[in-house]
Amino acid sequence: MIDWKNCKSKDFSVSFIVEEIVPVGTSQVFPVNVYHTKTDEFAFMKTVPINAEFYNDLREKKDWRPILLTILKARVEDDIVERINTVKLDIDDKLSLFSQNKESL
Amino acid sequence: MRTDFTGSFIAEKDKTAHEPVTLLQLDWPALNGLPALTLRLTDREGVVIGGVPWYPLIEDAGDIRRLVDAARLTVTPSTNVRIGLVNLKTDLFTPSAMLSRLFRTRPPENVVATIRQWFGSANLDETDIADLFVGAGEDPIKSNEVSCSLNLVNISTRHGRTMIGNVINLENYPLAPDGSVGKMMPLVFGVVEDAPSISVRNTAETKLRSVVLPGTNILDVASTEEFSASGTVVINDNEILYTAKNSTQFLNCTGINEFHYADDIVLEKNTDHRYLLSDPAYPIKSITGIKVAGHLVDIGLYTIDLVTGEVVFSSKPVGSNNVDTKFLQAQFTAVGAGNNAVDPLNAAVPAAQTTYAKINPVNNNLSLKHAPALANVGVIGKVFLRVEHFVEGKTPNDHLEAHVTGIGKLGDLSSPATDDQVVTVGSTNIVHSHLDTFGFPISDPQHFHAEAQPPKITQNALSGVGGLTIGLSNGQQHIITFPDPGPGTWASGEYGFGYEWLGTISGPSTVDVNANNNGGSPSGSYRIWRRQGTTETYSTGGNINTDTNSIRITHGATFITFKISSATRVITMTTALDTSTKPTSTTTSKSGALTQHSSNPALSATTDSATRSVVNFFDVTSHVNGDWSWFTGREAQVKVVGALDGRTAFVVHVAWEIEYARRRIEFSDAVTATVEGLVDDDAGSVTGTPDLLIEKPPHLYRWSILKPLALDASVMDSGTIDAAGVLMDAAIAGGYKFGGIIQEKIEARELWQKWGKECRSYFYWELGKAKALYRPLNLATPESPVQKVIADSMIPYDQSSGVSIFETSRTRMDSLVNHIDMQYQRDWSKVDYLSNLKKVETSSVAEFGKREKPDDFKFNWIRITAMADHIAEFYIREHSKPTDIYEFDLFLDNMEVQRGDILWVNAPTHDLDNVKVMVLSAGRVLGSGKARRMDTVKVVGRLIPGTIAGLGFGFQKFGSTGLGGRYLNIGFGQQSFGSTEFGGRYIGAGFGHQVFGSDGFGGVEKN
Repeated sequence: MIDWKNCKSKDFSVSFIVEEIVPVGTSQVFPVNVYHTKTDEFAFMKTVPINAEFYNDLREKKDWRPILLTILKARVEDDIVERINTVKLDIDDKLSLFSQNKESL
Repeated sequence: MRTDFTGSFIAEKDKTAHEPVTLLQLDWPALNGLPALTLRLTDREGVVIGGVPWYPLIEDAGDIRRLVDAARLTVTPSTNVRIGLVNLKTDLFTPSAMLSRLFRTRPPENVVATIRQWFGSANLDETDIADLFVGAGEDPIKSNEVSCSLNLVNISTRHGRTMIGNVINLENYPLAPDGSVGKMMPLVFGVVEDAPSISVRNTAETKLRSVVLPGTNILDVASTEEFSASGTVVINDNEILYTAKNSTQFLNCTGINEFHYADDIVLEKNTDHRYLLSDPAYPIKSITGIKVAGHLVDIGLYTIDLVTGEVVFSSKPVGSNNVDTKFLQAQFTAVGAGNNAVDPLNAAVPAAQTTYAKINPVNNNLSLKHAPALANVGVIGKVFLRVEHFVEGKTPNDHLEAHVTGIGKLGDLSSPATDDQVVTVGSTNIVHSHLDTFGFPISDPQHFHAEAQPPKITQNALSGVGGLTIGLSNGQQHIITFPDPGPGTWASGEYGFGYEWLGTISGPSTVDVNANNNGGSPSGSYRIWRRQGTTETYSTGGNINTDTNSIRITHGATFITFKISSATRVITMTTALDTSTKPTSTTTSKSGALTQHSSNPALSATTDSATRSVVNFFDVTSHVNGDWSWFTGREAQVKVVGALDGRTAFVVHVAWEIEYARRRIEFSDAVTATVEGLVDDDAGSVTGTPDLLIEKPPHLYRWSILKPLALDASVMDSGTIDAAGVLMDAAIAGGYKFGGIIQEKIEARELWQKWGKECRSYFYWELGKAKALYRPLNLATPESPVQKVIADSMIPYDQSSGVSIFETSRTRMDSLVNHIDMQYQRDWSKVDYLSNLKKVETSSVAEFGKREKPDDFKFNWIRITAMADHIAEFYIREHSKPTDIYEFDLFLDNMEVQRGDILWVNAPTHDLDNVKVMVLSAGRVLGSGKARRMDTVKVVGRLIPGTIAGLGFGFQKFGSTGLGGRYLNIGFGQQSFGSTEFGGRYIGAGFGHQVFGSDGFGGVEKN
């Protein structure tokens, strides 16, 4: 179990699922697996959309690969930060709600 | 008290027995060619006074009633009487005729009637006649063949109905605008700041319907109807000459030298914009402090004409020269240098949210150019570059910047907010079925193997066969080889050789040729061919069951030739499979049933969405520096800086927002001035001083009599008016002064009421003369002068009931006021007041609660705070307590009692002694033998309570009757006044130590 509250974005590593890159709408979607480095635990999978026009513009640059990787990492890092900052429901609250069972509308 | 009685008259009236005679003199002025006429009538026969007979035609002289509203106490009383006259033919006329016949030529409404007192059998002459009432004929006037009756109303009613004020019309002001015609020309009294004026010069006016550019020659307006065929118009302060017009346009215009906008006012050019401040029929003292729309005006813009009471402007007064700011959104028109954005001009289209230019970290520069010159439409205020954009997602690392050529970077565009995100929520619903126990029925799953045929392998020889001639000598053999058939145990080997003897043979006669195994075991062979003699025997096949792949062809000849065209063998392997049937020894069973499993895990997903659009403004005001040409060719750029986020930005709109202020002149007719109003004439007939400003209340009374009513000064009782004036002058420093305007036509009597209320006075008519009474403060002091002590013996008894004709009533509670928020110093431009003064009688509030009458305390004519305070003090004393109103009759010897007198009364209704009472009205019941009525004096008076501060009554006891109530800090000390509570507790302001005797007020005053 990843202790998100005490994580930093540097605690994670990514691997790209190249074979599953697909176009969706006006974007190219790049699936990225994110792992917690210390526990080697799978954290989440993030699909990163890159605007198709931008991708095409980028492809015309010689050094487009490292730029693209940088962008993908930045996008994932943004998501990691969001997860770190997400306020989770306290377990006691969950238990309290759970004990209520079903409520009629 | 009346003091105009002669000594003989007084002696006669004071007699315990006398013969009162009522005289009625009717005076008609010369009218319709008829001379003036005087009739002298009386209620007794044989009355001749000074040799002049008085005709006994009075049937019933009635009752001279002084009407007063005892509750309000502010209304100037008026009087009337109904007279009954004999209408039989008399020799008063020649020939004898009825009185009513006279009315055909002498309207009774036009008569001045004087009722007079006389005493019969007395040693009096005509100089002793005392007037009781002067009035005018008034409806209802009725007559029959024996009697005639008419009302006589106080002469003030006739005078008071005179309307004051002249109106503006097209005869005295031919150019007056429609809105001014019919208005009353103001009458200003005293000093009035911001006195409003009335425009008396019409100026044609219309509005522009569309913008007018400098140098053009047509004005589109709403209407040209009021304008001349050619002339000059003014827009703002731009004078424009036109030589023609149609219904909505001025044509051939010259002089348009600045921008003008729709709704700008277009005025006919005049040089005499006149504003009337005061009726020129009455000269005024000064006009200063000219304001337009509340703002002082440069003295050079107008002239003042005191004779006409006007202020004249040479051009239309300007209400405001305003800063009317608007925003102009100037759009970019071309693609600028260095642009690599997609669809850049989409960002130049306003109000098009669905089209945009696109930039990203690669193509990162949107550049737009403002190519055309902007017209100068006013003074530039603020200038902003407006950029509206959104991004396809958040940009925590990259950002966008705005740049302008010649300036550089303006700033960063706002990044999407942290909360600018989309949260996708949902759930999955997974249901599948499965067996709870994975089992199913199987019959014994025995299996068997079917018996297999032995494997047979058919092979051709690899070598040693063909069409070649084989010649073998004795002992030689020929080798034929086969391929290896593979593993297995050979059961048999069947061979077939294509053997052909070629005809050469030597040796024995019987020669065999055999095929033999060549190695392997066991050995085997068979004979292929035999020649015995010439008989040849061929064997087509035979077995060589040897496990070998090499066959030797041997022979018994010395020499032989043959050929082997083919060699084939079939190898049969032995069978090694177990073909017996065996059970599987596997069992299964079925139990349980199908079950369902469902779960609803939360959906975990991220939605990547475009952010909300953001509008940024970048202030470039200082760079523009008010120069409209600055925008020409100017370029603006929006750039993506950074490439970490890889986001595309969508720029919806880029434009200049230019605030410009232009001059729009608002014209106004709201011209006001400080006016020192009407002044006295050169003779000083009103004030006694030539040309003096008329501002003191008595002077206003006088002015009303002498000027608009145009009555002779002799109708005024100067003694009472002057006396009131002295008291008003002494009331406050500088005396009472009015400042106000008569703006609408008003009857004189209504005006007198208003003035009287605001200077606590009565202006009334008595015996044909106008009098004034300054109303004393409603508090009695020991020093308060008492004109007469009314003894019980002076009050007659009602003949039927035997009860004294003395009745007490209390003032109405709805007249009680103990909290005054006086509004004064009226703003005459509107119904509003500039000052407020509060006056509270706390003891009354404590007793009766807060009682107000706001509408009764709006004072238009008071402009001085000290006067407002003084007047408010008067009214709070007047109204803060309920009080007694006494109505009683007195014998005729008290006929000198008149309005305003202070009487000392022993009220029989209260068993009181020595109550001080102010006479509100003193009327008269005229005796009538026919009506069996005695002559009496009818008095209405009100109790004057208590005393004033510091002059109280001390600790003495007033006896059982007491005097009025509880007046804190102004009363009588701490004594009790008895059970009636008239007296009560007057704390800290007593009379000292004098003894009043057993019945209260009297006694000897030691202090």
